[in-house]
Amino acid sequence: MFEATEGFQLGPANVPISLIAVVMGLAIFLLWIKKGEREQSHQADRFRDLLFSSLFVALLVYKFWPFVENYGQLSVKPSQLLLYSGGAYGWEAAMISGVLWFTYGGIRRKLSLWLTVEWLLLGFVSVRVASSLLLKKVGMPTDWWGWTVQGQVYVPMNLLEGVGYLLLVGVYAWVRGQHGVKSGEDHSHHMTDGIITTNAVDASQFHKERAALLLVGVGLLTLLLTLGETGRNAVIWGNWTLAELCGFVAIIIGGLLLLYPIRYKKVDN
Amino acid sequence: MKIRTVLILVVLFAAVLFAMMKQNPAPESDQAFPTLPEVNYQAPVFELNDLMGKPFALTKGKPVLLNFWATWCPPCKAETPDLVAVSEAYGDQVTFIGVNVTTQDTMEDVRRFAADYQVSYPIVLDETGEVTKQYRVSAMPTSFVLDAQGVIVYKKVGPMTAAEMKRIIDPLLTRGGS
Repeated sequence: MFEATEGFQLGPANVPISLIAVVMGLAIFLLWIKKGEREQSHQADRFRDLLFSSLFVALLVYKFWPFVENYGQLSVKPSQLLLYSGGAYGWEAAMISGVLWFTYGGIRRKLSLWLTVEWLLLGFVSVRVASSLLLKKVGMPTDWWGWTVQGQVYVPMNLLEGVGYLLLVGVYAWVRGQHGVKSGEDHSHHMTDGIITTNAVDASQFHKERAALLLVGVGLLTLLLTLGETGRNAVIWGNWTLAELCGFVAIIIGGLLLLYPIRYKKVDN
Repeated sequence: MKIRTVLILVVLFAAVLFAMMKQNPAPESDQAFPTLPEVNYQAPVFELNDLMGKPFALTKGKPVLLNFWATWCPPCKAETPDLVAVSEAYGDQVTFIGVNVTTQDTMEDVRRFAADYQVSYPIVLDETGEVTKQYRVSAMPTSFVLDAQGVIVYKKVGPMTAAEMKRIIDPLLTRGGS
């Protein structure tokens, strides 16, 4: 396991482990989509292409954002753009651009809404698992077992996070299995009875339910993990940190979505 | 009522309870916080000599912008005029410290650089490279912004623009440096 600040030296460039963890998490997730979602291969191809293009758009905006913020200075010396990236609002601009590009592309390429949300959340979980397994993160001081920094033992936040997210993956896999059984039952019922109209499970409802489950899980873990953190995260609204606010909103949205039961769609044969 | 519905309502209730607890500000804690050169951790303390040979220590009490740099580094040259301008704009409200990685520089070059760019904030010399190692600086320039309690609130590898510096420092001043 590596320290948060460590990186690999590749010639003149230093590649941070945090970046390697993100790439690893994404690679595992995309491999799973390719192998585990064969019946959705067309959607998976479109999703992967769109994900990469959105990341590229976000990267471009991040790189060139200083030009927008400091137009006067950088238009006189455009070569300085090689040195700068980000700027004051670079992250926000990059994220908004990436999300807008993804949304536009998703609508244009007719990506299934709930399947896309489910995959996005799974991708996030995959990246979090990879990061928690690769990078050490310490929380509050503790008398129990944990990471020792300069003689003091601290809560091993990354391990707790890893265990939490792996549990979430386990629950997700179980629910997915249940959905598979239900879908199969309905199908066999339809085939044996040979009736003209039957209740077939709408696949998008399963994706919606699994996306909602992931939302609640991610939100719950985010809130629980903030309890063990150093407590030094910057507040952005009232007494809320960004992580707490996102976690709370995710639980509320996911919980409300889960409260709606799966709807069966009438299918005429 | 189904078990599933009960579980969802419990989770929602817990989230709302958490939200209600957040209405009260968390009490200031005096617990030990880990010292690491990363955001949300306590910044490692150090004492180095300045250009006059006088010891200069990193202290708490007001926000600090810590900038690791070298004279041969082009992004450092691009960034320095902004650092000088912003440090002068904030005056005594914020401490700007330029940590020269002297293991990769010469004293003569450092003095010439400081004179050429009219650097008005303190420049300290990391002659052994210990502080650079302590802060795990792998590329230059690297900047850290610390709040008044010495907690790192921002880290940037690469040059910062003046707008970027102000965006990070202004909230630290409005909330009393904490």
